Amino acid sequence: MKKPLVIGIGNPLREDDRIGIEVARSLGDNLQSLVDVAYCYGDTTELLDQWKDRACVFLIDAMQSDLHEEGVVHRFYPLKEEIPAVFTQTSTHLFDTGAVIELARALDELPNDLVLYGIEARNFSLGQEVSPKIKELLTMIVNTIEEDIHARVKSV
Amino acid sequence: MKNNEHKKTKKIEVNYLARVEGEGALFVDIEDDEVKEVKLKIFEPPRFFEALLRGKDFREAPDITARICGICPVAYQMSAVHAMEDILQVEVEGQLAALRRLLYCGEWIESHSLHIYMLHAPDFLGFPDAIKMAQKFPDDVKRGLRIKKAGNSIVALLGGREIHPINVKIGGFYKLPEKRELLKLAEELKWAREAAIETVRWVSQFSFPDIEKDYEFVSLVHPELYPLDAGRIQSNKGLDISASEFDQWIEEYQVDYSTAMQARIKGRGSYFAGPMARYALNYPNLSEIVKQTARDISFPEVCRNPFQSIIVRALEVLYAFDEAVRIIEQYEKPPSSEIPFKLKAGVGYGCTEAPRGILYHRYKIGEDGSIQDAIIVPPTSQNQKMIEEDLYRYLVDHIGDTEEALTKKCEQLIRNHDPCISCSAHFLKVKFNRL
Repeated sequence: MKKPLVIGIGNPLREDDRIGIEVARSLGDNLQSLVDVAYCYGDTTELLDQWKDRACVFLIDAMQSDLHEEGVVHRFYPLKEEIPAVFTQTSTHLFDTGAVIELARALDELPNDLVLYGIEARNFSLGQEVSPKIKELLTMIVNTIEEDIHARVKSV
Repeated sequence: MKNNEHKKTKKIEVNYLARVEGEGALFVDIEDDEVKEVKLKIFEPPRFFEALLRGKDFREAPDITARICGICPVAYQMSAVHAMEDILQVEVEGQLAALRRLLYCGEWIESHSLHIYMLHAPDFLGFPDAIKMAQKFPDDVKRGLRIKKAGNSIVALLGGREIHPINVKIGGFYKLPEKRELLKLAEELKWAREAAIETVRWVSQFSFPDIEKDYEFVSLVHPELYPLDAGRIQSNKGLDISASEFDQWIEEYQVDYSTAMQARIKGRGSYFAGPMARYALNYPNLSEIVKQTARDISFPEVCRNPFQSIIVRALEVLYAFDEAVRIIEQYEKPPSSEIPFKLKAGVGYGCTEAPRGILYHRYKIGEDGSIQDAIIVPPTSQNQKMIEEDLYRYLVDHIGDTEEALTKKCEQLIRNHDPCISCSAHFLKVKFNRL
């Protein structure tokens, strides 16, 4: 059986939108024996192919609700709940992550186990680095998601 | 909605329009059942790409401009390299030109199939979005996703990656594909070509409002090829210019309600760029499989019904697959990935056919190769005025319709033109004021 798959989602050219990519890259280093890592740079319809033969998938994406502080990590279980609209409307992706998850649900193409981590961010302007605030919080964000994934994979 | 019986006026407000690429708004003022004003507002902050380019090395233009849009980066790269090659007097021909054409086919497929299946088809089938449509038409949506993926694979192979490709350079490419790499794509492309015919048949069965308009269609026209990145800028009303004459004939102007410039033909007014224009002006150069498929559904050689743009896009997807297969079959890896050139100062012009229409670039570079001036005119800016006119005419003709019906139709009408608002200056909000 294939290892669980972590997919970092984001446009690396849009400041904090690259946070999903950066966190996934760190998890690839830190959880090498537990998970595989893939990246989705903007065309989220590709997710359906990326997770096709995986039983367990973790998605990591930047999101903006403006209801929480930057760096706050939200965790969703799309198999049990709909993704709140507020976390999908502001994606800079061509077809936002929440919409692709709902599309996959309609097509019966969701993995058996799917977790979506949404990282609160504010800055989505052109730029190849995350904003200073997110940069400051990066280690904390990685540790939070790493501990959660580690616990979930080990418990299965 | 607000009503004011005394003035026989009413106000309609709709605050969100989905399924367009980018952020903007539509405001409609109606007074005593008379449409007073239609404003397509693009309020995304201008990205200042033209200013950003100033001072950069001329070789950076293709990769910088590719970042303007996640949907049509190849178009930006192509118009940029054509303009620079115009300055440097570099002629990219043969297999290198064919590979550029193949890359462009990939982008048309990605962009058109996303629009047909995910953004536009739900309008015709009565669904609020592709997700709801997928519940009823899962096989069609899966077909659309697979077609799109086939386009992605072309862009990924030739462009180096699917989003914001990086392999195109002035004079050619950084790295050329091997024939065997292209042949690996061919089998899926042949499946997709058949699926594209199925797409044409599928969308041709949709119900279309009986609306036609005598547009001035503007596109590239090439004596032999269906236009992607070559040809003169022509119209069905006599325009026939080279890219270097664009500024003499077409003027951009600012409107106070939008951060994007609008465009018009000097002394004439709005014009229509994009798939319907390309199709109308270049039908003879479509491949036989496309013409036969159009004949099979009794589709005319010139289509003036903007709601049927979805059929034209589907025919262009078919063409793009057919052309891609043709290019791959005749491909022989050239000895060099680029044509050498010597730096020279000057002004150059490039105009290629982005999925949404002609995309014009003009650059001035200095003796040191720095970009001194840059002008970029994207197709959505060019079509903005014509979209407003389409909306105005529809509203005038259907003024008695309910607010809900008008709103839905206006949204659909805007999507007829597949506007890429993030190109022109993200999200489209609609607001009707029926006073």
